[in-house]
Amino acid sequence: MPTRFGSGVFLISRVSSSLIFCLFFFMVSNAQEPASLTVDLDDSTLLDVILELEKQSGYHFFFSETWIGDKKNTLTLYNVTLTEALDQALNETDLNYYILENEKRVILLQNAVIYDELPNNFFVQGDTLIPSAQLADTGYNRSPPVLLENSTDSSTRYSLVRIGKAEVGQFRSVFTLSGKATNVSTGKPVPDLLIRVQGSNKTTLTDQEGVYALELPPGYHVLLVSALGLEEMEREIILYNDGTLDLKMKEGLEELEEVVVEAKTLRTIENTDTGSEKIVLEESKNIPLVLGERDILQLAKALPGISSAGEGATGLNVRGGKTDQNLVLLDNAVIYNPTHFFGIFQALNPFTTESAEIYKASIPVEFGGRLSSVFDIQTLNGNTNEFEGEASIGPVTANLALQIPVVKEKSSLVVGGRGAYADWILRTLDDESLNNSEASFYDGIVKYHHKLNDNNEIQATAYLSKDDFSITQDSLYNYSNRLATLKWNHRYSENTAATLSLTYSGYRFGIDYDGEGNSDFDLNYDIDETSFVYKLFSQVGKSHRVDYGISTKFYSVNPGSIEPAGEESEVSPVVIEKEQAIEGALFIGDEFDLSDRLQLSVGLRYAFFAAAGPSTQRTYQEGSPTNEGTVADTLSFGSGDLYKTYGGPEVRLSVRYLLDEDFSVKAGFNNAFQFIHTLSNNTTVSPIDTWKLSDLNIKPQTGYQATLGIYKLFGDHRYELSLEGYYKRMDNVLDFKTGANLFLNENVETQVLQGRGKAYGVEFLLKKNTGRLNGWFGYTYSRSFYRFDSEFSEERINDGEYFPSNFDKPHDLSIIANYRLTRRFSFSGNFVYQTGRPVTYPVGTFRFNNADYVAFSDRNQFRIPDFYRLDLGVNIEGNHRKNKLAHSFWSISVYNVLGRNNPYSVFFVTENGEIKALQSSIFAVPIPSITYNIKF
Amino acid sequence: MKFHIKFSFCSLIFILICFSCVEPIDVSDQISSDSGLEGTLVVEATITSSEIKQVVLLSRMRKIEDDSSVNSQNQPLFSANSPIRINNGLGPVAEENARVEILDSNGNNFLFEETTPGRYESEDQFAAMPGTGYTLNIITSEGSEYASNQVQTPVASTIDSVYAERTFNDRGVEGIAIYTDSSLPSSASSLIRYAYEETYKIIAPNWTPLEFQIISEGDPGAGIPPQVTTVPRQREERVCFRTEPSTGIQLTDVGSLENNRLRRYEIRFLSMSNPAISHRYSILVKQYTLTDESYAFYESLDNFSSSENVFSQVQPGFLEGNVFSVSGGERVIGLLDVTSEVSQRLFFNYTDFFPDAPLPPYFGNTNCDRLLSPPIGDPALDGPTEQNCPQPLTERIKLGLVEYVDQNPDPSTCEGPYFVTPTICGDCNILGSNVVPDFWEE
Repeated sequence: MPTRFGSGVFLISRVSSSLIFCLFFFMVSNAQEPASLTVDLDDSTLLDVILELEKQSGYHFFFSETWIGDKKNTLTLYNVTLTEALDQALNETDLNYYILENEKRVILLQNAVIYDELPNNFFVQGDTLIPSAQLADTGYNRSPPVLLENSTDSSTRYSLVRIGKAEVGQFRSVFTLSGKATNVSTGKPVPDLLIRVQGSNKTTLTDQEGVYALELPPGYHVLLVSALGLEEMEREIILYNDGTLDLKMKEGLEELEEVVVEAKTLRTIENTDTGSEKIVLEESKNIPLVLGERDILQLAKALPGISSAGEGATGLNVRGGKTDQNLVLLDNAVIYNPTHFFGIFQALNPFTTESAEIYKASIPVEFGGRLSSVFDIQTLNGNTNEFEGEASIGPVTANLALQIPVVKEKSSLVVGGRGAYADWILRTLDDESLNNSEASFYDGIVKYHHKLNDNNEIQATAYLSKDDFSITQDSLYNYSNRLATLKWNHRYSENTAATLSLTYSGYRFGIDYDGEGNSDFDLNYDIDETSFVYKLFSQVGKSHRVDYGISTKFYSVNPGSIEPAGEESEVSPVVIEKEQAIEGALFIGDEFDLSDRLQLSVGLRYAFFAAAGPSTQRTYQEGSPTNEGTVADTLSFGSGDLYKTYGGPEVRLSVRYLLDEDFSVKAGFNNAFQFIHTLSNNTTVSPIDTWKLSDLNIKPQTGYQATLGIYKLFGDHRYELSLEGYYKRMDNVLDFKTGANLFLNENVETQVLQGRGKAYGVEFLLKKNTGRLNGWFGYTYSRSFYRFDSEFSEERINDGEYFPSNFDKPHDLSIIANYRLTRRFSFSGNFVYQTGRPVTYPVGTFRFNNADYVAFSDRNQFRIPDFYRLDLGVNIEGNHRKNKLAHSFWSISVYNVLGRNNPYSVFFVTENGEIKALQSSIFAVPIPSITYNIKF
Repeated sequence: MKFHIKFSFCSLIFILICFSCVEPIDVSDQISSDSGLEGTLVVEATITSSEIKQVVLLSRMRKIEDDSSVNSQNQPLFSANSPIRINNGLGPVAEENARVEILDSNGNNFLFEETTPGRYESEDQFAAMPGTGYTLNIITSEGSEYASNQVQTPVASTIDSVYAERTFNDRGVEGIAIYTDSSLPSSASSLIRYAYEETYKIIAPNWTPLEFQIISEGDPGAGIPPQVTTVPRQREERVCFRTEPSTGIQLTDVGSLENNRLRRYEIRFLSMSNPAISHRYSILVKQYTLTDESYAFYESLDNFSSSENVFSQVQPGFLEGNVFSVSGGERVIGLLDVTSEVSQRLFFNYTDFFPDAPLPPYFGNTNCDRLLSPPIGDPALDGPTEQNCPQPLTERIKLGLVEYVDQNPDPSTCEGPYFVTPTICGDCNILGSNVVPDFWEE
């Protein structure tokens, strides 16, 4: 350390970063002082100024030259006192001074202030830091001196940082420490980084831009900084005043050791949201899943309130809502069928997926159009500095994802591809009937992300998924999703930022029938939507965070077409008339603090829908059922005619009250409109279900939900507990007349019933976020009922009474646990118990057409046996040597260890004139699998 | 226009098959039908365009837990050890003594009379006429009244040809497929239901001209052995014919086809190992054009009773037809199906398609080649006896379990003086009727 000793320069040795003293006691007054100093220095360093003052005043200055930079300034002072001169000279530095009048000495201090009296409670408090809340309570209104003690942790890798400059007379009990967290290797901001103040309950999170702010009492603090996948950081600071501390985060080598990101915990307490969950895909890595496939949607099902009709059922039911009431977004574009293989696998590449934000209630105001939930799935931004890759090989699929920097520090490309190779397994099976079956799927994603400058960022995503399967020799089924998004993030000012996004999504399915006769055909369905969303965020004043914007969407649906296939086919082509519509919304939401404890989030969204021509629509006689016999008129609408509009305001309201720093109560209310519906007469979703837009005869679905919950952290934030209740009502939900014909039906309204649904439940979730053993325990009690009533018997189900839905499973318990034995070995387990789902059982048998049949009556009056399943897995990481070329990861799991033959459905068939009761199950035996992952 | 396209899946598919399964279960302890639908009237009235005595069937719905067949495992239709035909289920509960009539839109009234319990035939022959509407009226013996909507006779179709070809089915099984080519006059009525009646010749493989006659049952207690002799058969027992109606529901919509022509529609597939095609086989293909109502009814009936795929089932519900209770409130499962019927018959021999192949196995998986020689209980005629010899011959004859094949000149241990075969192998009347059907052509 270069030090000068001369001209009264005194060496202040920096003892060590962790042992610092800066407490001086001088029982001296700083009374009169000689006046009249005149300084006129152009382009001089602070050192020049100090030397000049030393010369003129005759006082000796004590300081370390390292404190003084090379910055040159111009200082002109005329006839001032030493105090005034020093105030001026040190104004823009972090130096303070203390004048020892009797000894004619001036001591310069970095950051610190020297007090000439002891704080009131110096001897009482000892070395304990006083939390700000307590300060307020005791009326203690003066900044305590900064007292340091030896750090006992010798592993600290960062030197102590002094922040801010203390000001004399500045007795604020709380200062603001803020800063930005960035990833050292990628240069990207680190969102959701947890910053915890050791020894207190204070914590905060970084926002999407990596920015955080923390209110702290002045003094010595140790900040514990952690996030999944990053090396933990411990920073010692001494806080003198408001200031900044940027955090450069390194990627951790022992990443991914915990199932759950701790960062979420605080979010849960502090947000006003009820019913929201965030899943980071890496978390699901250790959870044993069927055939070794990581799956965000399967993981979601382990959370309270989210379920499906059964294993292998496509579609999620969120809080008693139907499967068409979920808005699944991949990089802001709707993905209509996010699954492969009848829902066994997700259609999202686990390597390129960053996270999924799931809203079961308190849906952000920018989202709308579905009643029950939003799954906001984001693809990761690629590494802008280094090439990275990840690959896996499992029993059914292979996956490869690459992150390719394009412009260093600025832009990168993410490319992911996944394919299934199940065909060969089918072929090797002994069963002849399967030799002609085939099933394959693939999905691919490309994302480009470019940070133009601090205020502008663009990203573009393209995605394609496709499934092909054939079950009988003569039909080949296929379905595909295609998405494209373009997004521009722009910051107008410190307080205002905007996001502009353009998205396209398409879903289509087809059946190619190639039989023996003259009836070969190609059948197709497709839906396309193009949307434009402009969303702004403004920080208004200190406490208002306002989101507002506009969204519009254009739908175009081909409800079905059939064409002859091959030369011999005599199928006459049929094309059902196209459906078109515009959906739009204006929204504004404000989140603000009414007090330290009370936060309110108020949102208003005006949803609008217009069905557009050309179209032919029927009207039906008033007071009669909607069927072929009651058609009153057939109306034709020209191109561009908005022949039917629907719309209304949607309210998003939630409130949070902090009972304590780690204990909050929240309540919420929201309503919603849904203008698009699935047509399915199956008990569960199938890939050939079609989506139908609201029109003259099919009204939009509406719904509202009220929620109330309590959230608590305990055990040093290691445990998080939440208890949430909800009540939900839905109107105009769709169901179908018995034996409805939905596909290629021009007048679907004659087959459709619209009725009412209600759902309620209590969800309990206990999470342990850190430590060797981590995971969660969730239990839900919930019910969901639907009612289809009408004055006409053909439009009633169960005589117009409420009946339990197909997915009404009152008791639902999930345990997900992960135990880390060493850094390399971990065990994980997963247990699910659910009440059996309701099914419609027959009530009698009769003979018709020489065969025996069963007769059905009331829907869903019986239940299949309860469902339970245990999965176990072992994960073995490759060694953690830092410079290893690639990092590998083995995952060995057994799905359904108990071999429980969980019934998926019970049904009755008539074969050769006789009735048989059959039970189907999807995974009836334990299924072992091994997956090898490699990261490079 | 409506399109009826059926997405039919095999029940077991792709890879998940390795893990998934569909198996019969016993649900008797889970089902209790206290729904008040027990005893619901079931009406099956099919009025065809053929000039015949039309038939209306009336029955009552059974409680499901009473119907053992729902919970039974697959029972073989024929068993070597109990050569008694096993009925499907319990059979319907007939609704007797009802008054049944059909009214047409021209004011004609056709009365029906009960011929067997629950089966009502029209007193006179009549045919559903084009351009005419029909209504069904029923008054049960209890006095409840039921009526149907008026149903118009749909336009008739034609069967261009019925033909059989040797082929492989989806599962790679070799056999004979029977196809039809059909035409409809217009797309006005394009909904078709197929049914068939198959008749086949059965030749008992171990038939001999002789059969047993028990002369005396003897008295084992007094040491008097039973006496048995062989006499010429009293009736035709070598060649019989069996006729069976189809039980499945086969529907198709021809309206989506140009020219309303349907080609190579597969009616039936008979695998090479089906004993029905062993000798000579005949199928009468019946083609019905249906009204929308009937089509929808049959379609729902079929959808609710077949498994389309492992992952999703059609949501079943109450099957509503076009027959209603006049007083309202009461539910009825009933269909007045007025249809235009055409039919065509096809004959073929096994050797037409498989000239050199061995015959399919005999009915009921019975091994007719294995001859038995049960003891008669007469030490003079039987071979050496031991403690646990099989059931004696006379008891078997009395139970109708065995037929004579040959003399056993040298009976060994526990054997008697005759070789016998299970009755099913020696007397074809177990499986069919020895009366040659009127339509039969050799």
